Amino acid sequence: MGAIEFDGVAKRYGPVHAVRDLSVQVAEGEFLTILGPSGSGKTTILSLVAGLTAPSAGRILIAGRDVTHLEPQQRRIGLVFQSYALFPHLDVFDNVAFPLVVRGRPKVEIAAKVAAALARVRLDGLARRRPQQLSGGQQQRVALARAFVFEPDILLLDEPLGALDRKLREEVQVELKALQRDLGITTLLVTHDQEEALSLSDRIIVLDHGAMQQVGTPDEVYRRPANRFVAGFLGLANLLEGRVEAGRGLRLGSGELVACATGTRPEGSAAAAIVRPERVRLLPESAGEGIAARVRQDVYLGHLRRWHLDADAGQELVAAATDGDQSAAIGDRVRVSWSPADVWLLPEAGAAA
Amino acid sequence: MKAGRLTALVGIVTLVFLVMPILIVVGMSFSSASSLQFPPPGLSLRWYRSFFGDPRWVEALVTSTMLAFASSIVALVLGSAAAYGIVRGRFPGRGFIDANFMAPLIVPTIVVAVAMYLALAKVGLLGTWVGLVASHVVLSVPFVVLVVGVAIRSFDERIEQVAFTLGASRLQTVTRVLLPNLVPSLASAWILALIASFDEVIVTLFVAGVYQTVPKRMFNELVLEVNPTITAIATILIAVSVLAMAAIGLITARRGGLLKTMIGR
Ligand SMILES: Nc1ncnc2c1ncn2[C@@H]1O[C@H](COP(=O)(O)OP(=O)(O)OP(=O)(O)O)[C@@H](O)[C@H]1O
Ligand SMILES: [Mg+2]
Repeated sequence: MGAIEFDGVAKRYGPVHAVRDLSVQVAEGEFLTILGPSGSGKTTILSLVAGLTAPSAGRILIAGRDVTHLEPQQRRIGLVFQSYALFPHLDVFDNVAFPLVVRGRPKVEIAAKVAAALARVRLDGLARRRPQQLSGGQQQRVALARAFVFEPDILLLDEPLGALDRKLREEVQVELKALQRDLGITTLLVTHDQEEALSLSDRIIVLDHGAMQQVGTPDEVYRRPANRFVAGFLGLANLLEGRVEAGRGLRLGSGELVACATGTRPEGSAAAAIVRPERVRLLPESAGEGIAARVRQDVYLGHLRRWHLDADAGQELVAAATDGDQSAAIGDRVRVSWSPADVWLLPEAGAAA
Repeated sequence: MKAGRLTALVGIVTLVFLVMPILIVVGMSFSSASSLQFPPPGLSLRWYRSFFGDPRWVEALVTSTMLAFASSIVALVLGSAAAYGIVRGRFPGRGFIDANFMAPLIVPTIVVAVAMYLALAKVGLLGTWVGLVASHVVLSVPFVVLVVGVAIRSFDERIEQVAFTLGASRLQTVTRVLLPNLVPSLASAWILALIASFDEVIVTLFVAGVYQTVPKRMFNELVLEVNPTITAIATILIAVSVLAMAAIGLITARRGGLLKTMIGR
């Protein structure tokens, strides 16, 4: 088992900075998710850990050992690609047995370990099938079994659930989390799906253009994002811009005061704050508090209902609630309110856009 | 519809134009006449008997066969290794090396022949068996580099990368992962190399010395006299080529044919 340490790791492809100055420590047994949009450098980080590409700068340590210049074979890493990359000429059993066979393990041991791994991913009956004869979900589980059967120190998963339909994906997420906990294996998972990241991870790294924007627990990155990018990438957010009134809150351009903790921000400095839609309450127009607004859209999402609102001062706002808890129809005039505790002042510098 | 019919007509005429001479040669090879005559006055196998009954022809056939097997196997091994390096390597100048392997296919054969003649003379291998095999390897290696190169290129590199992370050395990855998946392409490449060597005449004329291959003998015979035995040999060569192409067709049929395999899907 091993902790991973990135020490100033960077990777350039010619003019493209695929990964910039990444320094972060992953604890032993931790489930860390790398979340970012397409092209943000997620796969590159995994290939750097796996040793498939060499960093342009920095060091990577696994269990305290500098592996920066080690071959992939010497790193004891289990890797699952989005495309699964199963060996097309081998059946399920031989695919999973591969890492043990190339290590020259005795036949009896191989048979026992492969059987155990296949049972663990619930593929017992399919040992003699070829990859082409399996469904996407089954192929994904073969790739997973092949990646952990040789007891690697680290598991690297590159969008392993990307090709599965939503229902299957949610099932496999639960299984994957349970498997990771049983094995106690340090895991790096790559995804661009924020829900997947929030539900699976101990911590999340949010990546944009190769640069780490924030690292923290799911709760931290969702409720206390470091900047607008993180706030926007992890779901809808109401963005409020204005100037700090020390000790009172944020004075918006429209003149309204949004009460919130201002910390050590100097009086009059430009700042931005966010409020998550599910923290926003809709009040009748007659209510004395809140921002006056008109309902522009009413979106039904099944478990939730979402309202898009135009504040009288021109600001666009979003509110969401469990269906039935609140109601408002298109064109209704309402007042929008939230508790000061739900306003998060973005810590980013120079908030003025 | 009109355009369709015109296309069909042009196609048929072209096909007839291409196939006609072959059919005439095949027909004449079964002739009972003592000179080249078409249509044949009667049928017989006398020219086949004359071919197999002549020790000089049989010797040429043995030489050609041994030469084709030796050079195609060497070309397969070297060409496949080269293709792997060209496709998967990460060193500069790969394009140049690739072009270099392809050159014998593009440069006029007579230029290759003169070049081989001078080069082999320089190293003292002119007229030797080793020199002859080497020159045939040079001629058939482009087919191998082409076919195997395309096959490697269309094989997902991530599958090889996963093998590395699973602990397989480069050699294990090549032998246990890459090669098993290349078998159809390797077989096609080998057959193409075999045919390329078997019907080669120009370079052979320059470098073979005393060695007589079937095509070289045919060429020399034609210069002296027109003997219908030639048509029997030609028919045998055609049959071998057709069978070989059919074999390639069968081998690659599951993957949509050689052409598609080569274009890369
Ligand atoms: N081999 C390469 N050569 C040149 N540029 C590359 C190479 N691999 C990746 N890049 C570039 O590096 C950047 C990061 O790529 P990467 O594959 O890591 O993104 P990603 O976050 O995994 O994206 P996706 O979600 O689409 O898989 C991209 O701009 C990409 O074009
Ligand atoms: Mg990727």
